[in-house]
Amino acid sequence: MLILKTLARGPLHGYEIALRIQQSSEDVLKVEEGSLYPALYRMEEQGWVEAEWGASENNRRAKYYKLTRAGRKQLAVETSNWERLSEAITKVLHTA
Amino acid sequence: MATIKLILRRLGAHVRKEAADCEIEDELRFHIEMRTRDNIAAGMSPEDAVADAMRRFGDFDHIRAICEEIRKEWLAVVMKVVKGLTWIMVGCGLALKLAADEEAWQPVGNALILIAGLWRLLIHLREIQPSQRRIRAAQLTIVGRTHTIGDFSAIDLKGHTFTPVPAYDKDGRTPVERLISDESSGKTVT
Repeated sequence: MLILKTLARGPLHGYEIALRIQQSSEDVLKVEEGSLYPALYRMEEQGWVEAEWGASENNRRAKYYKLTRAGRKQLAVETSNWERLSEAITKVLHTA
Repeated sequence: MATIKLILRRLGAHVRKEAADCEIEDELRFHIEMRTRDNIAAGMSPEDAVADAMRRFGDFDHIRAICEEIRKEWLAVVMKVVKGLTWIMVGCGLALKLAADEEAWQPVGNALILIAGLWRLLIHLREIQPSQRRIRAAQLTIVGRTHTIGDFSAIDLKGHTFTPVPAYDKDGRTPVERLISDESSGKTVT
């Protein structure tokens, strides 16, 4: 969900995705950066993201990922599921 | 449309399998290089910058292997479909040959069977792993040059490298004969 959300703004390469997630979460979410790639490959298999080789900002060859229409739908589904879950947990915490 | 593009790109990648594996490695290395560059820009020494980038990334070989595995899973499904298509082509070719009244259809049937056969052969050749291909090449060398002491290079078998023991050494002894001879002469056997 975090990767899909990060890609919703536009195409990014893997390193930029990792940076954006870390920055958006104000350094709270620090995952092993390499674990991002198997997740991206799985998403590509599912058709949620599309990859294309291009030139990076420092003119290096980089693989850019962008969200597909199926990816946007999936993001909407996962965001809705997450909101329901976090709302439910908040309710339990506040009543207990 | 996106799915069709993905299928075509993946089939292309399957035809140039080694290139696809290199692309995975290139992508992962690019990540580490970018992190290293940013670390240096933040004031780290080049050595510390690389070490930090590697630590943050995790086990490079393991991650690359997982990515390759994901690719292969998907390709396996596509290749099943492609193989199915070759059988359909053979069926259509045979049907044309047997059922078509006009002689003009006979070459079309033959062409379909021939194309399906060649396609199938190409798929089979691509399915043999590079490591298996090297082993087969080594086996062919052994068969073809039984009594020649071959200088075999190391064989990479699914990431585990080993060097085949030559059947005969330069004195024409087998490995067992060599072992007995070395033991009796008091040489240390490793």
